[in-house]
Amino acid sequence: MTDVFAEAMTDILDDEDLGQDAVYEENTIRVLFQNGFVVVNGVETTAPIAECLDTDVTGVAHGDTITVSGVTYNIIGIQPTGSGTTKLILSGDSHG
Amino acid sequence: MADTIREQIIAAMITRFQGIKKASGYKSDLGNSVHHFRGSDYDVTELPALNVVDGRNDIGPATSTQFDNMVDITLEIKVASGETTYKTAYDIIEDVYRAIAVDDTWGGLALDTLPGSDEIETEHAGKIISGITIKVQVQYEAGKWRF
Repeated sequence: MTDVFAEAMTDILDDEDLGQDAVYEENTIRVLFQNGFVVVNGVETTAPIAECLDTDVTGVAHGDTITVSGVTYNIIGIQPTGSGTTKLILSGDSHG
Repeated sequence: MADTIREQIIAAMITRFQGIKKASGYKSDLGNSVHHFRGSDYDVTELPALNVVDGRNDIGPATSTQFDNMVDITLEIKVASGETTYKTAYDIIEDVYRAIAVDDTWGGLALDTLPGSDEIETEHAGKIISGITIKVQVQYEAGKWRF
């Protein structure tokens, strides 16, 4: 990640209107959180995603948890963007 | 004009499936959300839910005036119960088969109800949601050009 992009992402995550605090591994990190509408198997639900800096979630694994706005989610997907950030695919349910 | 035999069978099925309640000895409360030809998506609060779809009907002569009808029934079920969704799916399939077995002639309207298949599909996005598809065939007799 170039310094310019790193700075831009850090600015976006730190922006009070865009980013928000989350707790991962007992550390407070900044994330871009989305909880968009999706239809799964004919059922309306939402699919939460938290995007954060790679460096904030080093070693992240499926089954880890992250807390956003007081809600604890299970991490069921890990999608590095290749630009210094990682999208964490979240669920209210664990893998089961 | 009276409902056709097919309509009466479907009505009897819906009534029977609405009786699937834990309070009645079943393993699920599937009976709280039973639909017929529902075309819209479900809200999670409506689950578990069952949609009865009667599709293809194959007709063949039984006598010169009576015809055998074999109608395909698809039972589309949706479940979301967290980590135990798969277990709930098993319980619901058992409940549906048990309900059918109470009387698979649907009060004498049908000659028989035949098992076809069952299938569970699970997706995980935001929560674990399973779709269960149970297929059965109902055989009944109706007059020529009756339904």
